Amino acid sequence: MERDVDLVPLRPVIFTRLHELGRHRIDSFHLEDWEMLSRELEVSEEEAKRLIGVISGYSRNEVPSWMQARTAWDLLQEQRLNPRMITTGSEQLDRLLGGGVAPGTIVEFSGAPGIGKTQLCMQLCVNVQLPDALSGIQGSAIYIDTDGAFVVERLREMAEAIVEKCREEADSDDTIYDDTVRGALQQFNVDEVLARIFHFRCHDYFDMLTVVHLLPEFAQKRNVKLIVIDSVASHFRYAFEDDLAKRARIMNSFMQKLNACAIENKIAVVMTNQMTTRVAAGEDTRLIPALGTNWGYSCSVRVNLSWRNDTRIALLFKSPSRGQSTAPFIVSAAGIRDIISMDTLIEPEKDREATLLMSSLLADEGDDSILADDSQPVTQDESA
Amino acid sequence: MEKDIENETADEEDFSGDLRAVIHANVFLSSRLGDLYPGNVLDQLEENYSFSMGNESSFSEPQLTTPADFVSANQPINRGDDVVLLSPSLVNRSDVRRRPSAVKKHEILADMERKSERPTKIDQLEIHPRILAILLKMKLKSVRELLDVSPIALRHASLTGPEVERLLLETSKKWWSPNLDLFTVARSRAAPTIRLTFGCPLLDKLFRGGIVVDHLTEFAGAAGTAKTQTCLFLALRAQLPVLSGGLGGEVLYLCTETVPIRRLRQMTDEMVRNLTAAKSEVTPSMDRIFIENLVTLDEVEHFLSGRVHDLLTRLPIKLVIVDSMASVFRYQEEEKVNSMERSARLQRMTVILRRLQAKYNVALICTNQATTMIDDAASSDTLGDGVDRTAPALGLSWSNFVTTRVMLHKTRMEDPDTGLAVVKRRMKVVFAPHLPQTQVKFEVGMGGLRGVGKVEVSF
Repeated sequence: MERDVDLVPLRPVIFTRLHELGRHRIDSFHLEDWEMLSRELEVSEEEAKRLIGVISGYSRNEVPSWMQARTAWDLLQEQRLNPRMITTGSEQLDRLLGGGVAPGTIVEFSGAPGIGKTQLCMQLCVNVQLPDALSGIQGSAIYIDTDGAFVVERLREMAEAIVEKCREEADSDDTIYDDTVRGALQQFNVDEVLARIFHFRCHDYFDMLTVVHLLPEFAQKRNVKLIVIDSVASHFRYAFEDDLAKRARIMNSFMQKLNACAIENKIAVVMTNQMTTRVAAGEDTRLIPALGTNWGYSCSVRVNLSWRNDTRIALLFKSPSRGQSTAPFIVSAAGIRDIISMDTLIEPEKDREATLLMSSLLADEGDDSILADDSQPVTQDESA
Repeated sequence: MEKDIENETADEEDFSGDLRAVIHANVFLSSRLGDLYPGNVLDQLEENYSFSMGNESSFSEPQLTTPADFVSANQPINRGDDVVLLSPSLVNRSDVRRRPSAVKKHEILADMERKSERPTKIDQLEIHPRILAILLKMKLKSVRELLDVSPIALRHASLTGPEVERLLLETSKKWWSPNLDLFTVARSRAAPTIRLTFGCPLLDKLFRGGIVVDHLTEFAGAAGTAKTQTCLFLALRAQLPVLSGGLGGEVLYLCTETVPIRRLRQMTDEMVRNLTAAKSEVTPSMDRIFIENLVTLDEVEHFLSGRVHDLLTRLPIKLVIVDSMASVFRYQEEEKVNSMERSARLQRMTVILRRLQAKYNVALICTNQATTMIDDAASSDTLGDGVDRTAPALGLSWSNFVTTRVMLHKTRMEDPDTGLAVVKRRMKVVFAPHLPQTQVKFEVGMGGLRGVGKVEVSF
């Protein structure tokens, strides 16, 4: 039975804020979320925990979870038992992310066109379905496609490569797999994989908003464990003319609903973002992720993809648990993979280029101005 | 044209036989039908396929809430299958439950016609009168306005939390599957993604089939690299039927420079000659290419806000070409064009083009100029061609909008034997979501483009 937070005697300010966040179901409050809640409501840790305790007290007649004295150690144990992450296909990229893309987190991949953001998205949609036997999450995926970049033939290629790998595992002489597991691995086939990726072609922000409203019900029914938004920038950057206030409101509403669904259902959210030019007085122009710094706060993990000579490099520049570092990767016919024979995880102190890139990515430039000068001066025709 | 062999009573009015039905597939179907895209399945299916009823067993479970439920509960859909999508009112009728093929052709078509458009007004949604009254009092009329309003405002208008949630959920469901809540699947035939092909095995291999309709495909290159030739060629190819590799429609060609009419005529004649020789039924013609000569940015903006809608509504246009986007934004010598303003107009242009493509489902091809990079600027590398040291004009915001970027190169060399100048042309995929970075040499002949040699990996 769904009980609304209306029932709880909260201060109007808190009540309003909770509704803005989309958190109005009593049983959606868990002690583990105190950190997120304290940030969102701008209250202290104690207040957040007390709030959760009070609210949970109104749900059925169960003992609120906070009274069960769960310590940090308990949480760590729980994490250890459920360490399942979504692999990117590249071990180095996984290591950069602390094992892969974690359910319940929002990860942003920014980068210039052609760097491989869409490839990574498609790869994750395939990898989220990896069978239990291979430490996979075995969930389905939603692909929110804003630019038509989702091409089934390419996805099929990636799925074929992964399925083949699974079959090889199954057929190997390794005796860890019993017959049922081996059977399951052999069953894993391309059509099944494609069938569990739900594609929503979004032509404007209304399409995106409506998908997010559908999400909770859809996600539960279809066992969705990954939501990909490629890209979150396309329909939010220029569609609001000069009404930045409206854009901020709509984006907040969108992100909060998404976040709520992600946490509640332990779904990983991956978003791609465009780059924009930052022109600062007296400085060289630099490329930074679009949508502004306020937007940056919505993501728990931020990764920037760029070229270093001929190699694709991922740079982790925001993360709750890891230090910053880089990882190279390639986009092959099979999908996202490790680069062979290259220095791995160059430490940022020694990696000057990464340090420079990092400082420009973290530069504070306020809201993404629509008038940011993204066009190079157009030159005249070259004479033949 | 397929006959339903399982249906014995082949009544003229029955659904069996070679019916060409109009089908809407909603988003839930798409992933099950492999390459079939949601939303615009309509055009593709109507053109090429016929449908018939399936066997009785597929109707055993009509009490389904979503199409996907049905799919997983019954047989999977395979290529070569036929699909029929029916609404609950039809499926639950006792005679239909007994014998699916009892549904008459005209009933299905009428069913499809009804509510085939996405709801635009609030009163088109099925909402409780009390809630509807509240919304109208809030001066909300369109569905978009409803989606724009903040949930807090709805709460303040005395809708409860669960009511707001349910309202938004139901509205969103109707937004995505406007005509059908339930459907019954017989069998389906999945159409391959429609692509605009070059008719040349090498070029088609470079594009893994051809140009994707849903993308913005850009051909960038320095002057003389055959950008316009490519556009003319594709404008002719697009007119061929889908099954022959075209888009089965007409073309809108926005030209910012002098229109190369003579060359177009020459290419058309040659292509027709080749196709006639190959006994092709449909041949391209200049009559099916609508040319608009627009030189300034003002003219282009004006056209794209008015006349273009008229043309795209009235005519079966399947391809829009803009040749070239770069010259539209070139520096005007007469006035000092503020670069910030130009940037804003470029961004607005991408929004307009995107909306156009979404609304009319047309393929979009643009040409862009390329300039030689003088320095080692790292950011240029990310936009253009690091190896060939050229970068497309128009900058980052345009590049973000391009789905598939192809660069054209030309080098002039002296043939060591004859001492004559030899032109070597290359077409190179710079980035695309579905293509590796490969390139192929090509030449421009009387009848258009032709690949030479083989497709090779580009570095």
